[in-house]
Amino acid sequence: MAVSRLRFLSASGAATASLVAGAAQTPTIAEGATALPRVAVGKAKAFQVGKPVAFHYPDAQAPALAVKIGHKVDGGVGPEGDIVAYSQLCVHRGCPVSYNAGARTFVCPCHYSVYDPERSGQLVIGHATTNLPRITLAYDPGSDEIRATGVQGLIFGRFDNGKLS
Amino acid sequence: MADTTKVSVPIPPADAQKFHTGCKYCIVGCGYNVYKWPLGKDGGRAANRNALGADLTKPNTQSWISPSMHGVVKDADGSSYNVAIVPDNDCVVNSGLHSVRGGTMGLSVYREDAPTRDRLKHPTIVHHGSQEATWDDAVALVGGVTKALLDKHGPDSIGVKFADHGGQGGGYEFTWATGKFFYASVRTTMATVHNRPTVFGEPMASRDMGIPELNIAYEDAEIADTIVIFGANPYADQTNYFFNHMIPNLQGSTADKKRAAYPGKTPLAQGRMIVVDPRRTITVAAARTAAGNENVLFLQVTPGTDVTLWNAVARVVLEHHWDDASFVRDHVEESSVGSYHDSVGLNRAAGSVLADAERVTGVPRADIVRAAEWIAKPMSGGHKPATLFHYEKGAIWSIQNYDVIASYVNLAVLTGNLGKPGTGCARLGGHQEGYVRPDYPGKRPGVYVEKLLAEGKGPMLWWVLACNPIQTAPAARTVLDVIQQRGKKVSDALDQGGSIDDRVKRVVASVEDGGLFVVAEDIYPTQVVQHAHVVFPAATQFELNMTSINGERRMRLYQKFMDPPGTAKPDWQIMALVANFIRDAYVREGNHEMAERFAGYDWKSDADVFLDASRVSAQARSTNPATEQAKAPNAITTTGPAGGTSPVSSLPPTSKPTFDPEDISFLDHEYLRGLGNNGIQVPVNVSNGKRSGTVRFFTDGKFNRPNGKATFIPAHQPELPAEIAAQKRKYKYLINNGRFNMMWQTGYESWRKPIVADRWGDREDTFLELNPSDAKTLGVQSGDVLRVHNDYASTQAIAYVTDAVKPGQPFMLFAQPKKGTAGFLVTPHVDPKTNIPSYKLTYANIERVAGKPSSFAHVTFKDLENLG
Ligand code: SF4
Ligand code: FES
Repeated sequence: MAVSRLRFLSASGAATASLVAGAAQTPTIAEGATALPRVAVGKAKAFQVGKPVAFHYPDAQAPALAVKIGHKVDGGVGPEGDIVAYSQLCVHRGCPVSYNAGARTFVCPCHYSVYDPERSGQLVIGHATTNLPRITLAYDPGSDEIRATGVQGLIFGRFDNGKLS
Repeated sequence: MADTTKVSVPIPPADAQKFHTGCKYCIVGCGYNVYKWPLGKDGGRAANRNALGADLTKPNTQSWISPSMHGVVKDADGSSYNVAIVPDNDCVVNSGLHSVRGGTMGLSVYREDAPTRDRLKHPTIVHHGSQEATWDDAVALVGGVTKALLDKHGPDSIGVKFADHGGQGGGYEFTWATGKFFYASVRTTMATVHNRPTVFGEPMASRDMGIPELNIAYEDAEIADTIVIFGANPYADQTNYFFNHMIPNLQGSTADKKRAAYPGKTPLAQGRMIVVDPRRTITVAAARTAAGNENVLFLQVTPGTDVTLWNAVARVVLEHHWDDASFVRDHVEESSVGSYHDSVGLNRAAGSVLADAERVTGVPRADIVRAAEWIAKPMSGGHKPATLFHYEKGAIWSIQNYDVIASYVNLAVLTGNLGKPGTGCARLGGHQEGYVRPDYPGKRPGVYVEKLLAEGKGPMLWWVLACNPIQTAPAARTVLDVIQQRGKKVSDALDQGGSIDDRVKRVVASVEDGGLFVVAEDIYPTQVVQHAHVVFPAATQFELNMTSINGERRMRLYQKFMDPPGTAKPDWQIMALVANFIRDAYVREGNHEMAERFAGYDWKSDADVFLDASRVSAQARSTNPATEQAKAPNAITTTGPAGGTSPVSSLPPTSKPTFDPEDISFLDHEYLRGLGNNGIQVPVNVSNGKRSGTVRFFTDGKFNRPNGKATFIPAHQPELPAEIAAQKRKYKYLINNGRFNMMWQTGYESWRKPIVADRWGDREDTFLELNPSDAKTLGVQSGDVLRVHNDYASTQAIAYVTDAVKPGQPFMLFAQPKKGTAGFLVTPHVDPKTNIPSYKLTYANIERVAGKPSSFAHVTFKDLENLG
C-alpha cells in the first residue's frame, strides 16, 4: 500500500544540494501549486537544543517553529543534521502548537493533538487529518544560514500554501 | 497522494451542490456539510465565488477543507466530481469539530485511483474460487437455498449475524429491512448481532432496572458537577462529545448553563471527572491538562473487580447518608431496596468493606471514599452534586456483564442522578444507533450461534451482514476454522457448477451432510467475504439516504450524494430482492400462507423503507397503554408514498416495557431533511400538530417498567470464569484490549486511509502496549514484533512500550484484521445471563519474534496515552 506516501521526500533536482550537510532538500511543489520563496530563518549556531525559534513562512500570516532536536533526524539540517521546522498551526482547528522539549513533540493546547517532529510531523495521537506540515530547510555551511525553502503538506486554513491574495 | 505531499485543495464554487450528513463512524454523530461540484469547475477566493461564503484571500480558520476531507467521485453516468466533507459549525453536536476518523471521510469514498478501489462491486458465487455473477443468479441461489431449507428444516436452519446499529453499515432502513426478513419472514432464532453472540442489548441490566441506556443529552456533560467515565476512553472513542461538551465543563467555561439549569445553586467553578480504567488512558491525561490534577480522580482498577468497587462506593454513600432518600422512596421499587443494601454490605462496618475493596480492586480506600464524595456528597450551599454516569465496553465486556452494569447503575439510582439536567446514567456508545425490528422470535439471553457452529450444530446457512465475526467473536479463531472447514463442503458442491436449480440442490445436500453455506453482504473484501460462497455487494453511507441516531438519540437524515460502485445496492434492496424471489416461489406453489410471510417488500425508495418502519414504531406506541401522548399516531400526516404492506399484525406483541427509546414515530425522510444536521431527539411527541423531541429521559419521574418505578438489582462480585481462570494458570500476562482513536471498529475502512496505514507501518498489525518493566523482562523495544499466544490461538502484535499500562497487564488493539487479532485470544466465555462475552480479559504469553519491521522505520512510537 502507501509505503512512501507520507515520508520525507529526498531531493530531486536539488540546486542547493552541494550546500547542504546531510540529506539535501528542495521544496516539494505539487503540480499546480504555487512556488514558494526562500526565507532566512537564522544561523545554525544560534540554535539551542530544545529551544524553538519562531519565524513565518511562506508569508507573514503563517507562523512556524524551527527546533534543534539534539540528534540527527530524518530531514534535519545544520551541522548536526538536527534542525527541523514545522508550521505552528495545528491542522485540526488551527491553534498554535508548542514544543515539548522533554518528549520532543509538538502539542496543541486546544484539543491535545500530538505530533512528532522527528518523524515528519506524524500525528502521534489526536484529531488532525494530516501530519503537521513540514517547512523544508536548506543549510549553507559557508554562511551558516538556514533558509526555509518550501512546505510539505497544506498549512491550516489554506487552499494553496502560496496563494493568499 | 493523500497527505503531507498534498499542498492544495480545490475550492467549492458558489453553486456547488450541498448535502447534509452525519459522520459515518462513532456514536457522537457529528454533523458534516458535503459540497459536490464537477471536476475543473472550482470556485474562487472572493466570498461570493465559493460555497463556503468565506473570504479566502485570508486564512480560512472557520471552514477549512483539509486534504483528507476532499475526494473525487464518479457518478453512475461516468461524470466525475469533487466532494468535500466538512464539519458543520452550526451542528450542536460538534460545533465544527472533527476527529481523525470523521475528518478523513474524504479519503473513504470509493474511487478507482485510491485504496478504496477494492470495494465490492458485483455479486459473486463460488465456482473454483469466487466468480462474478449476475444479481439474478446470486438472488436465485440464496433465495432458493433459503426456501428449500425453510421448507425442509425450518426457520432455525437459517442463521444470521448482522449489524444492529446506525451509522455506516446500519441505519433504521438497514435494521428494519434485515430485521423484517429474518425475524418476521424467516422467523429464525439463530441470530446474533455484529459483536456478540446474542441479539439482546449490551446493558440488559440497565434496561431491566427501567433505565434505557441512552437517557441523556450531550448538554448534560456541560451541566454536571461530576462526570464519571467507567471503562471508556472518550478522548479517543467519543471524541467530540468529550471536546465539545465535557472539556468545556472541566475548564470552567459552562457556568452559565449550570446556573440556568439550577438557579440558586452555586456550581463548582470547574466540573470534576472520575475515570475508572485499568489503563491510564489519554482521556486521563487530557482531563488533567484541562481541569488540573485536583479535579480528576483516576481509579486504576484491577480488571474484573468493578462490582466490588461500585458496591464499596455505594457503602460509603450510605454511611454518610449522601443517598437521595426521597428519590428512592418515590421512584424506586421498595422491595428491591433491602437486598441492594445487603449486597453493598450495609450490615457490615464500612471500614471493613473498604479494606476488602482496596485489596480486591487495587484502588486505595482514600480514592474510593473520594469517588463517593464527588458523586454524592453535598457541596457548599448544601446542594447535591449533579453527577453524570457514563460507561462503555470496559464495563460491558468485563466478566459478568449483567452484574457489572447493575452495580454501576444502582449507584445512579441510589444518588437520584436521573432525569435532571447534568445527570443520567448512559453508555457512551461505539457506533451510532438506529434500531427498529420486529420482535426477535427467541428468548433471552438469545442463542450462542457461534458456539453451536463450532460444535458442528446450529444453522445450515449463515448469512453475515455488515460485520466480521472472524474479528469480533469470542474465540474468533474457531469461527474462521468453522467457515473454512464446514464451508469447504459447500465450495466443493458449487465447484460442480450447473444450473442455479442444480446448484441449490447440491448446496442443500452438502449442508445436510454437515456443510455450512456462507452468504456475505458487505462493502469490502473482509475475511468473511473471502470465505463466503455468495457475496452481495452493498451500498453504504453517502450512497443512499439513511437515518441514524447518536448517543443523545439525535435523529438525522444522512443524504445520498454519490452512487455506489458497480452494481452494489442498499441492503434493504438486497433483502427485498431475496424476499420477493421467495414470495414468488411460494405464490407459484400456491402456498399463500408462506407467500404472505414474505410479502411487504415492495419498497420503491429509502424513504419508503423508513416509513414502513416508522409506522411500526407508531403502532407499537399506540397499542401501549403507558404512552399517553401517542394516542393519535395520525395526528400528523407523513409525507411520501406509502410503503408495502407490512406483516405487523402477525408479529408477536411487543415486549417493550413502556416505551421504545429508539422509537421513530411521526418521522419521515422529508421532514428530517428539513431539520438538517441538528435533527430531532427521539422519541418524538406531537401536540397541536407540532412535533417535539425528547431531550433527556425520566424528567417526569417515570421509568421504563410497567409501574413506572426503577428498581435496584443487587450485584455480587463474580469469580473469574473457569475458562479465563484456566488461561490464568498457564499464561503470565493479563491481556486487556480495546480501541484506538485513529482506527474505526474492525479497521475495515481505516486501513484504506493512507494516514492510518502510514501511521502503522502499512501492516494491518495491532499494537500491544507493554509496561517498561515487562518490556525489559522480555527484551523488547517499541516496534518489535511479538508473538502472543494461549490455548485458543497464536497471533502477533507490534510492541508499544508505555507506563500507561500496569506491569503484567498489556493492552492490545481489539478487532483488527489479519495479523493481530486480539479476539483470537479471548475465551469463549459469556455471561450466562446475557450471552455477553468477556472480551476484555484473557491471559496469554508474549515472546519477541523479530525486531522492528523496516516499514516502521518512519513510524513514531512516542507515548499514545500522554500529552508530555
Ligand atoms: S467524534 Fe465520532 S462522529 Fe464525530 S467526527 Fe469523530 S468519529 Fe465522527
Ligand atoms: S486545534 Fe489543535 S488539537 Fe484541535
